[in-house]
Formats: sequence, structure tokens, C-alpha cells
Amino acid sequence: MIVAENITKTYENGAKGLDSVTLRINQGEFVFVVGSSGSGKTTFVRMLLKEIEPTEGTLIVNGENLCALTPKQIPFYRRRMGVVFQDFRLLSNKTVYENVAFAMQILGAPSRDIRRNVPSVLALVGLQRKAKAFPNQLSGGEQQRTSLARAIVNKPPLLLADEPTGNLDPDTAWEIVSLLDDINGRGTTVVVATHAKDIVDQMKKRVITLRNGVIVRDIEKGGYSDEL
Amino acid sequence: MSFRFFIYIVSEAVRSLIKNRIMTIASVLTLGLCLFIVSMSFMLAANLDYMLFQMGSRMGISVYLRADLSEFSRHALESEILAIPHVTNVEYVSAEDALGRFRDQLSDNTSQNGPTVLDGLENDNPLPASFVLNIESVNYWDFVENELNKLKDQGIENVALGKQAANYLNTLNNVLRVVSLVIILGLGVISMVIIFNTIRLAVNGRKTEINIMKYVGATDAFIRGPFIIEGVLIGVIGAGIPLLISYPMYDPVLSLLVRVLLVRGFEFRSHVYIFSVLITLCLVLGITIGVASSITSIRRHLKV
Repeated sequence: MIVAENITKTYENGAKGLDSVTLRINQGEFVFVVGSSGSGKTTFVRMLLKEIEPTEGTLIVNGENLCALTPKQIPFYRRRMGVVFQDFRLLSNKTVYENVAFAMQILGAPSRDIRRNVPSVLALVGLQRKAKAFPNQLSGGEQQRTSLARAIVNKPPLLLADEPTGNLDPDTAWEIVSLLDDINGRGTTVVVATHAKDIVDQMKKRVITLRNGVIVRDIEKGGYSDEL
Repeated sequence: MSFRFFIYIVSEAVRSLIKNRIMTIASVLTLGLCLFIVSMSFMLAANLDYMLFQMGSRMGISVYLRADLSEFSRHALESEILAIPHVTNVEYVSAEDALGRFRDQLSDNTSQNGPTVLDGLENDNPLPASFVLNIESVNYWDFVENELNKLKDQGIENVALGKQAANYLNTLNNVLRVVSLVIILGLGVISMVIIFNTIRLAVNGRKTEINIMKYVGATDAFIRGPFIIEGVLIGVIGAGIPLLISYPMYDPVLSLLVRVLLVRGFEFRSHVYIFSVLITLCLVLGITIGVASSITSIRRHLKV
């Protein structure tokens, strides 16, 4: 699913975002990527999104070598990946239903499929009654659930969540993580970059810890601050 | 492009134009105003140009003939002159006719039927026979003069071109064309700058939206589509306004032109001619400005 071999990212100012990172995330895994600010989490996420490229090394996601992707191929690569951001990134002029439907419209899905799939995904995230609401009429948790619904409506094999609970209260954060766990239970690979110590500790999933761009720990069923 | 995609981008464009209606109105009015001035300039320029063309073709060139020219040589010369490109008509004026015309002119001016100073000249006519030529346009004056000079040894005494008037007309014609071109280009650039900024503001207000679209996997064409259609719609509406306003104004503008220039007896360009050009001009300018502004504004947001 995700294979990174000695990936290094050196920014123009000489700072290293990642330094010779090698890892493998298999299909169906649930992985937390943790680390303090500047540890390289964001660099890793941005690389997976093909927003930036590694300076050295090879990164293969969903069978695609990201270093070999042309700009025209990037949208098609991104369609095989659901993304959830800390700040939800919903289209403010579209309703919950339209925000989710939008991800299908981009793929050119027929209206019939959109009318069938969107309500079922909204039901999955518990938003069927909010379908006509606009983002500014929703709570933070509801907005993140909308974002989650949009991320999974096309049934991508990989779901990438960048600080998905960062703007949420603890109870709502747990709702979101439970949904991510549900989605993972249906076979989707889930990669979550997070600071949420309690959640990481209680979920007992694989935890990859980054520090100064280097993987300092990679533990199956680990916690946020297990002994190094 | 699939029909579904087309419907999507058009509905998104219309929705966005309505949602950002203040920006839309500002863009349309700016473009409409500029194109209105362009339309008015074109109406005036096209008709002045046409009038100058008519003036030029009405001005005759007199080719004075040597007195000893035989009738046979005269016919040969007439054929040679007629064969010169851009010469539309050649009229022979005999010495007697010339005197008759001169007499008529004098009597017109004096409005008297009594004896004139020309009465004693029938037997000693000082006026030469001539050909009076008409040519297509004043632009060919120099060319025709050169060709006539080549025929001088075939019996031409002198060529009276009225060249000063021709040059004056020619210069006026060229100045008019340059001025109208400058107005059209200048206003085109001004409206492009204003529309560009208006659309850029609209696009900047939607950069988050564009950003999200990129992350969800939208292609550049999918993102750009609605913005281009917005540009086209702004261009079409912006072009329609001056056309609708200027159509009923055409006749009053012509009357004004006649009053200001104190000219009579000229034909003007028809509504069909003027508006077939104007519709094309306004639509091409409007759509080009609208679309170019949209594409330029959105380009930098697509690099995510």
C-alpha cells in the first residue's frame, strides 16, 4: 500500500523534513504517525498527497511511484485516496449533501449513483438529518464527519487523516476516531497523523514516531509515548 | 467533454455569478461601458472612412491631351488608360465640351444670360481636350500617376491630379484608422485590466474552494471550467449591453455626424454592415477579455 525507501526531504533553506525514512504500511492497516511539531509528520503527509516530492528515495503509494507521476496524473492519483484535514476544508457554499456529492461529481459519477451513495455514506457518519445544512450551521464534529463522508464516498483504498481531531473536543474526537476505526474495519487502510496522546494510547494500533525527520519508533499496538 | 461535465460547469458558473453578484455586475458594467465606447468609435470611424472613400472615388483626374493627337491615337490612349489597374472610368472631354462646361460654370456663377468674356473664343479655343478619370480610392493616386507618366509620349500634355486634396484625404483616412485602432486597443486593455482585477478578486475569494477541489482529485480542466464559463458569460452579457444600447442610437449618431461635418450627398454604412461587424467585435473582445482574465487569475491557484 505505502512503501517508502530512504526518503529524504531537504527544503530550500537546508532544513530536513524527513531524513532517510524507510517504512511499509500494508493494505488494511491502521497506523498513527506521531511526533512533536517539526518532527516530519506534515512533510510525510504532504508527500503522500503529492504536494511535495522527496529529494531522495522512492515513495510508492497504491502501486504508483510518486516520483514518476506527471502533474496531469496527480488528480487521478488523489482520487484513490480519501483525505481528512484538521480544518475540515468543506466548501462553504455547498450543503453537506453537495460537499459529499462533489467528490463523486469530480469522478464523473452518474447522478443515479450519487443519489444512491451519498445518503448511505451520510447515514454511516450519522449525518442523514443534516444533509441540507451548510457547513457554518454545523458543529465541529459534524463538519469533520462531513469531511470524512466526502473522503470515503468513492471507497478509496487509502484514507489519510491529518490531525483529524485537532479542532475537536475530547468526546467528539472519540466519535471521529471510532468512525475511522469502523472505516478501517471495512478494509480501508487508515493513516492518521496526530498529536492526540489519549487516543493513540487507547486505540492500541501501530504507531510510527518521528523525531527530527527520522523514524525513532515503529511499534505494533503501541502508545504515544512508549519507551524508546 | 461529457455532457454531464458541461452541465456541471455551466451550472456552477451560473451559481457563482449569482452568488458573487456584486462582482458580476461590476465586471459586466465595466466591460459594457468600454465596449460601448468602442462601438461608438467604430460607428463613427467606419462611416468617416466610408465617406472619405466616396470622396476619393468622386475626385477626377484630368489628363490633358496634346492638340495634335489624332482620333486613332486618342482611342488607343483611352484603351491604355482604361487598362491601368484601379481606374474605374474614363470620360473624354473634347476642347469644345471643355469650353462649353467652362461657360456653363461661369453662367451658373453669374446667373446672367448676356454676353460673356468667352464669346470670342469659339474660333480660338485655348482649352485642350482631356480625359477625366475616376479611380477606386485615393490610395491608388500615386500608382495611377506613375502609370500615366509612362504614357506621356503617347499624346499626354499634362496630368492634373488635385494631389494636395488627395494627400489630405489619404492622411485623414490614415489618421482616422490609427485613432480608432488606438481607441479600440486602449479600451480593450483598460477593460482587460479592470475585468482581470475583478475576476481575480472573485477567484481569490474562492482559493480555499480551489484548494479543496485539488485535494479531492479534481483535474485542472474541471476546476478551470466554471471560471472560464463565468468569463464567457461576463463577456457575452458585457458585449450585449452596448449592442442593445447602440442599435437604436445609430441613426441619431449619423444625423449628428451630418450636422457636425456639414456634409451632404454621402451614403452611410447600413445597420446590417455596422452591426454585423460590431456584434463580432464586441463578442470577440468581450469573451476574450473575460476568458483571459479568468484563466490568468486562476492559474496560480492550480499549483497545489
